[in-house]
Amino acid sequence: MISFQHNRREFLKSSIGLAGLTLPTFLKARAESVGSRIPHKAKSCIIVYTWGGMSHYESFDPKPEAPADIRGPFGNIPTKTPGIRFCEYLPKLAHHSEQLAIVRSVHHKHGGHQQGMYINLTGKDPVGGIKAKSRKNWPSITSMISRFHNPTVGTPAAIRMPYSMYDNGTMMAGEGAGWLGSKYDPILLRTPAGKPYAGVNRYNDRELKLERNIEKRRVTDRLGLLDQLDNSLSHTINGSTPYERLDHYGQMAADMLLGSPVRRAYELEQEDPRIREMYGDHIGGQTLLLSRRLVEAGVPVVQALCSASDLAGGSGDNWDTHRDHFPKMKNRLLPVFDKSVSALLTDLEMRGMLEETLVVFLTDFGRTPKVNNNGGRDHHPGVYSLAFAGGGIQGGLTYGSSDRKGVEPGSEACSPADIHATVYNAMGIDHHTELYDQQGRPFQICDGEPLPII
Amino acid sequence: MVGTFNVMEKLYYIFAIVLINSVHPLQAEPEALRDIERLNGIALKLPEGGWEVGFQLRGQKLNDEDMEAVVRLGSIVSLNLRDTQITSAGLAHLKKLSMLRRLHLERTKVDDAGIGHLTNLQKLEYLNLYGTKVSDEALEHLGQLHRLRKLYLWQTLVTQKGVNKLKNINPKLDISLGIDLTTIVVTNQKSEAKKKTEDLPQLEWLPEEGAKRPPDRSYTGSFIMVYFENNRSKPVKLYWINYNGEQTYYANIDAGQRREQTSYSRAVWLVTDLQEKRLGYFVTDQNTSRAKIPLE
Repeated sequence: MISFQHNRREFLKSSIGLAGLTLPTFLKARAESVGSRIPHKAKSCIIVYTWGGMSHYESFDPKPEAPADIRGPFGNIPTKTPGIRFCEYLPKLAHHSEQLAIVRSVHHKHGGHQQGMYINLTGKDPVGGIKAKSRKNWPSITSMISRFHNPTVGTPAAIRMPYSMYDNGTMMAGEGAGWLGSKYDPILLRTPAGKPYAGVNRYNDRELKLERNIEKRRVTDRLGLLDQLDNSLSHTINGSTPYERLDHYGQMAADMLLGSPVRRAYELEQEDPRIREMYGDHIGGQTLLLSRRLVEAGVPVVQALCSASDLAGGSGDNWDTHRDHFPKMKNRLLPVFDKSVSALLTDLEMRGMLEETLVVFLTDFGRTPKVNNNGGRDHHPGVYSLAFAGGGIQGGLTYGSSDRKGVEPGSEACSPADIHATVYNAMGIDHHTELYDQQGRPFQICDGEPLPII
Repeated sequence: MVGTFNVMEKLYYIFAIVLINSVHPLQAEPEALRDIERLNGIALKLPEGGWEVGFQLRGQKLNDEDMEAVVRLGSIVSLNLRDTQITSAGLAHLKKLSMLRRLHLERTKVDDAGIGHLTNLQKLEYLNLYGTKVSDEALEHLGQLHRLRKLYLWQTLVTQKGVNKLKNINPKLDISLGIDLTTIVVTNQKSEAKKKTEDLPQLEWLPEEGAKRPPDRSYTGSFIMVYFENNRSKPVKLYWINYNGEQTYYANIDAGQRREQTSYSRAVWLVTDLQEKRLGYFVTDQNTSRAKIPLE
């Protein structure tokens, strides 16, 4: 087995050198200098997604001036930044306000989870019958970033955790690479530790389980491809193997089969138990810890889902709080979010990684001003809050506002596409860049304009 | 075959050198870049000028002797040596990098002796020393770097006193000492939770056939937790009786198992068997409570 691994390693190394099929230092350096890159600080990106729609009232945009039936029973607390107040159940995060840019004026028109999630993850309105895994879908922001940030050989370009988004048993569209092609589909990893979310967790889609090695079929696929390439090495020198195919599968194989920093990053038991404690013994916290470890290991973009996979009418620990909104937020959701996100920011900062790691908080939409008869808040895309940290983003500020009751934008309204343009710019990607889909049609990657927070 | 490989490698490098030369006419650079490539480093030409060079991922075997080759790329503005084998001795080479603005030395064997070599780096703005053996003594040298703005010192021997002294010399410097891990207590959360639950008040069990009846619906109240415990020999179903008096299914609780449930005070919870036969009720109050479903 050892000799097999060695063979593969040597093969990959020599194929790089012989055929010039990947981007080693020289070529990569040139690509960086002439491509559609702009000066930037962020080298990596962690997307924290609160699946189900996080209430703006009970997080980043409390409304103490609103009538009692709108503002809800929770209080608000000052943060480290004068003038910025958070919900009282985000006390740890309030200490990080100097690192955060809070956007309080995001809005769109889609009240369904699938549509809301799609526009927030792709920056595009859902058009037609979008469905999971379709190559007609617009690429997720995670995929799109990985399109522009090649990691070193042997490291996946994009990872998402800890499972796919479902709503009542239906897998959602918008997490994949869509028309960018399978090469840019983020690899799904299951977080190997932490107390699970209550509610339904579906694991029936294809995923990698590094603790048990990877899915057998995929191993076979890659081994087969590598053997084929190995046997026809002389032909590949003449350029008969498509560049993309070797590069992609070469990276994947090197990462998953030969061992890599990514595999080591996955071993959470290697982490100092006090650091694990800081993130919290919960799948949400351990997912964010794993995100830091993956970024440290060279993965350019990680998407961390911070809630249960299947909304199922808001029955589990997810942000779709149609029922018992306040006890769920107070007892289950906000404590995990507050602890784990604060730990992530602390951890990145003290390692000197925060200014090169863009952390983006996304969600489907906000929640309704009125509390319903079941003590819940329903879907509200009219206005909601998102946030950024690190990666050259200016901290200690808010951009835009919602109106007095939190119903619609009060100033500087912005769209998910503007959020995406901001992310792309922070990551050094010109948001006007045009790419071609698999039919050769040109598309500008983003319709929005970056917010002035970089 | 080996010979063929070498010829092809040479051809490749010639190709690469020509390519780089078309972008950058400086003759010294291709050779230095080739050495960086050989040492498994990554070199990126920055749009704003200069090079960013990193060994932190695949180039962790980089040692002090290798540094001589690395610094031949004189226009490095950012150098990442995290997790490499560099020691203080290797830092002597860095004085040639007069354009250097960012330097990562975290988690290396660098100590106080090496920091004196950095005083020539007058453009340095960022220095990461976390996880090294540097102490307050090293900070004496860093006071000479007037452009330094970010300094990372988590998990070093540096004290708050040393930090304060350096801040006095360079008030614009942002120093990160990180958190003190000794203040974090790793708890066995499961046993803690169990202990807490046992101390909680118990809700009264109202059997279906009993004299005391629950309200016919729930009322809104304050937010509490209820810890249901199924002491029966068979699984049960848990329903919340909502504000309209309707049954809302929440969960099954297996025999001998517990369920942590968010609730309002003044809520009515119904327990049935798997055939939906009503067994009994709990009515919550203001307290987070235990709800013990008794043996049949």
